[in-house]
Amino acid sequence: MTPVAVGIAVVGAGPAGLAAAGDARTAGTRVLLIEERPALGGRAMIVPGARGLAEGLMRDLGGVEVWRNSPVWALCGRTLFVLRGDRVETVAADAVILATGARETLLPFPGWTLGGVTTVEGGWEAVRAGRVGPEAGPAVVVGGLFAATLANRLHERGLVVSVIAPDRPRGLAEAVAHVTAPLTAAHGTDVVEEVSLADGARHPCAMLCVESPRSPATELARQAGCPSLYHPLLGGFVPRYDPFMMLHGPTARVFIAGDASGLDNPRAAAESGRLASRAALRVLALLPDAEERIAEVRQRLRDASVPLHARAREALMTGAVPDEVVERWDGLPETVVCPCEAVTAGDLRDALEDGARTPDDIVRLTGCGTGVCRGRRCEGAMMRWLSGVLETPIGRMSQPQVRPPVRPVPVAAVVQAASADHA
Amino acid sequence: MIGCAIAYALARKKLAPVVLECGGPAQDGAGCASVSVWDHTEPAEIALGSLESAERFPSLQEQVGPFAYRRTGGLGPVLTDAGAEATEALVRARAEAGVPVRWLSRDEAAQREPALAPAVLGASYSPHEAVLDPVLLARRLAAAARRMGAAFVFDAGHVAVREQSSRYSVRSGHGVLEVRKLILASGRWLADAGQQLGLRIPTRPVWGCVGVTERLPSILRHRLPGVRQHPAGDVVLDATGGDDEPAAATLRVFGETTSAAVRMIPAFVDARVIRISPWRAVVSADGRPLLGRADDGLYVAVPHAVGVTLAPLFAQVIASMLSDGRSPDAFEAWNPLRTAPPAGAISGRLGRKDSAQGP
Repeated sequence: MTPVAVGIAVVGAGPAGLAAAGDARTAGTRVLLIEERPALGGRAMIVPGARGLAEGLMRDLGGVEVWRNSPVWALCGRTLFVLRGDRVETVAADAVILATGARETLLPFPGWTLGGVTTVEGGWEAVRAGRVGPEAGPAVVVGGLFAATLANRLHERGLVVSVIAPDRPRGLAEAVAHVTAPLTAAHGTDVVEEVSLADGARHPCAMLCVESPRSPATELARQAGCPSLYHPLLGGFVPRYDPFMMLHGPTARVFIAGDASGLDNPRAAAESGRLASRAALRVLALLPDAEERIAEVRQRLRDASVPLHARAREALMTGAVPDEVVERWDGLPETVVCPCEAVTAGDLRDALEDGARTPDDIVRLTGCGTGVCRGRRCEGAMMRWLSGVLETPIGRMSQPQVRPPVRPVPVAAVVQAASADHA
Repeated sequence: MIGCAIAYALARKKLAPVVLECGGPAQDGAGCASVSVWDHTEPAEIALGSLESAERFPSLQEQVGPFAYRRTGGLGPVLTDAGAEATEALVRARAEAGVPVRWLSRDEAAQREPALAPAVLGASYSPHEAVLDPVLLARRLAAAARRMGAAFVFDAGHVAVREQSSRYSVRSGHGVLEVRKLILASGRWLADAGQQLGLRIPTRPVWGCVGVTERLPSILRHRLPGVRQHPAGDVVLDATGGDDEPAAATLRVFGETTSAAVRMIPAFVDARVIRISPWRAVVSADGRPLLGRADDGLYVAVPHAVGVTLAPLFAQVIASMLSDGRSPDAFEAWNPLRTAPPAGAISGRLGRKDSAQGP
């Protein structure tokens, strides 16, 4: 299997990846932008006010080669293993920029695995995909401002919508009902049919969208051996990188950008993508006036960032992160934590009794996080649970090891890759 | 795994072992929820001894609780004429030595395993192969042993071991243990602590990887070389590598194993692999298990290959040695002191450097 040789490979086509690829394209090296979804733009396409930014960045791509629908399932050194259709392609890059974004993940509650229960981002995706209309049934949205924007859009689409929040979110349409009692459970057989609240009330519900914690998507960085630090403001575990966005770890010239480097707004994500791109080009000796151009984009990043987040990122770079944060999550013994492997909170407690003390121990003893989603849905809750029961700061726990593939790979593609190796 | 089984057997004899694990609980069970039990293709002297061990798992499951033990039988499909000829000869030789294995024709193999590729010319077969969940097994054994007084110390990491006045001092990050009997129940411990005690019992590192697919409808009834299907539906692909393992070699070796599996069972080609877990182990160097007394109060129980098959037998033999002082003749060929010192080496007791030579 002959690798595709490129100068810079950018993984992820949200604002950070788009900006990185667009910025690098003029340097005279081959730039490849790889996106696992069919569409470019990432979360910026659904965040109110950011769509224009993403569309502008897409127009600036120019001659950048783009692979869509192409999940990267392994990173070995600077070689990427990519699934294109039913084939495995390997990409050997002089520099890699991981702009893999962040994801919103539900924290488990009774009934969270029912069909129709999703995050607010998941709700937005359903809206964008045209899967939501008046026939969808009543919707319940839980959360703050972001949730309220979704609620308004669902209402515009003809759904009967209720919002659950401590206070009525600003800008919520008048016709959208507001409820203050917290959500306690979702009920139904295979799909959600109603929700129950802390005051005992029950509401019919066919679509439940819960605003949930967002955290950087860092599987490839972890798989590449990069250590992480925990910063609550940046979304939790964030890979360690230097002031030039280059990852710590065994392989040089692997960079990170955007929300994968710590949560911030889409404009800041774009500027961090440009910073990573220029740093990569500087290392490859492809950037004239490198110091000046890097200083320029570093200032734009500071200006674009939420100030607290900018300071948190700078603290992360020096390793000065809060290390006393004990996170918590707990649930009834029958609450499913890992839907892929049907691991419950009770199973986690049993593992603790059998000597488990680290996230890797929990994974090994229960299978939590070893299913199809590879922990994307459950790792956060599991680590919070362990931090709380052990009263151990979550930042002092090592995240579970990440092995390839970080996305499912068809056996046919594995066989094809092995055959090509022998050819 | 071996350590948990030995701890259980000792605890049943009212001896209260302390088990030091260099990592976390069930460290050896990493990767997937099933491992193979017994292999009819092993040399006869190994296969017969390990079969005796393998047959103990059903009663062990009754004693300690379920660990997903399932007798699947084992098939060794052959795809070439030369392979068929060689395998038939091998089956004859094994059968003559008493190993319960026979040759199946193409039709017989297809009848037993309908998913086999039409290109399969025949297969070696034994009804004795099985699978079980190694993590569950380790947990059950450890829990049962604890109930009877055993103690487990995890994350012991590196240990320093000394022998003094017929006692062994074992120092780890968790403190110092002074014991009269020390059992080295893994290749890693044998290589590490054994070296400190002057044991010169050759071992070798091995590595491989285990790949697991998403859940599939039931396709496979038997255990095939390198591939089996868990009752829940996930297919497990076992690959063994060479001596040195760079990360890329793991993917290459896994690819080769997957290709071989698809040649035998074409239906797998539609599955998706969801994880690949590398593993490393240290086993005996000469292809035979190491079992028995290495010195006063010092015992070795290290298998010749990765797996759980020998755990019940090892446990029973070691427990007998410690409680009754009995050393069964049947396993003399697995004596850890069988390895002679290399030519020109220092004199002294087999397996241990002459104390006059210093450490």
